[in-house]
Amino acid sequence: MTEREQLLKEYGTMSFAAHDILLFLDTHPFNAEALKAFSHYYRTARVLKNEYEMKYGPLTADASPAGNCWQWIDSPWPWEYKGGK
Amino acid sequence: MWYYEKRLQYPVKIKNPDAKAAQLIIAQLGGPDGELGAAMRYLNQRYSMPYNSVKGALTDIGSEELNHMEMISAIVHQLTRDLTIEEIKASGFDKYFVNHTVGVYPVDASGFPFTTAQLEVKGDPIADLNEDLAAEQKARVTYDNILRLVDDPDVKDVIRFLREREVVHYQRFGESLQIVLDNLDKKNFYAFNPSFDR
Repeated sequence: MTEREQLLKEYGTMSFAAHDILLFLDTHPFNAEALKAFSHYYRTARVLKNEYEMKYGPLTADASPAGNCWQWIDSPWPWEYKGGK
Repeated sequence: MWYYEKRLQYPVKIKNPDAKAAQLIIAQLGGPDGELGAAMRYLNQRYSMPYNSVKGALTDIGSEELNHMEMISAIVHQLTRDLTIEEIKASGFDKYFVNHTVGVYPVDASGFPFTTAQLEVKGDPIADLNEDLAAEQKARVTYDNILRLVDDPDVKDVIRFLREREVVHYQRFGESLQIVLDNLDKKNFYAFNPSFDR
């Protein structure tokens, strides 16, 4: 696994944890433990997303930096794994 | 509205082409219990859902199904993109290939195209949530069957992740149904339809 893939995996893991707790909160909106855990995983994920985007390019189009070139289209598209070749 | 994030919810990294596996797994894109149908079923049911918790569950689970649709499409793409014409003929994938080449088009395992006749919006919270509970179980069984039929560990790892999500969504829809019942007449849950009768 490359460093890029490793960081994307860490971000994906934290983001997934936040998402799974979000679903739980939809049906348990007053659960204090889940509210706290959501906030923790969500904030951790945001930090990792920013770190990834600084190093490897935008994950969302709004994170494409101003400049001479529209970087959004150049970072790898997620279905295009070429590891087998 | 939605934002696109340029990654998969769970990575798909398949090394070896396999037309036979692709023809089975495409059932979870365009088939009756597939991810496209799941997303459309839940997102369309939201408008007649009177309770905020359940609007949330339908929105957030429906959105997650769009991630899963993308993952299934990525599996099909990676299993088929490097096939040779000999492999396409030998595997029976030629019947799909003649119309779609190696593009990803939503059909079931027998080649029948995706149809909205496979999903339901009844406009009644009890009926709709029972539909959703059944849909999650049917998708779980389809993934169990795919795990019986496919050997490639790169593929099975992703299928196991998707299977687990069906179990979690079933749990959330069960809680959603309980929330609906808690809001209704305890002596007769069917006394009125809270989506329509005011």
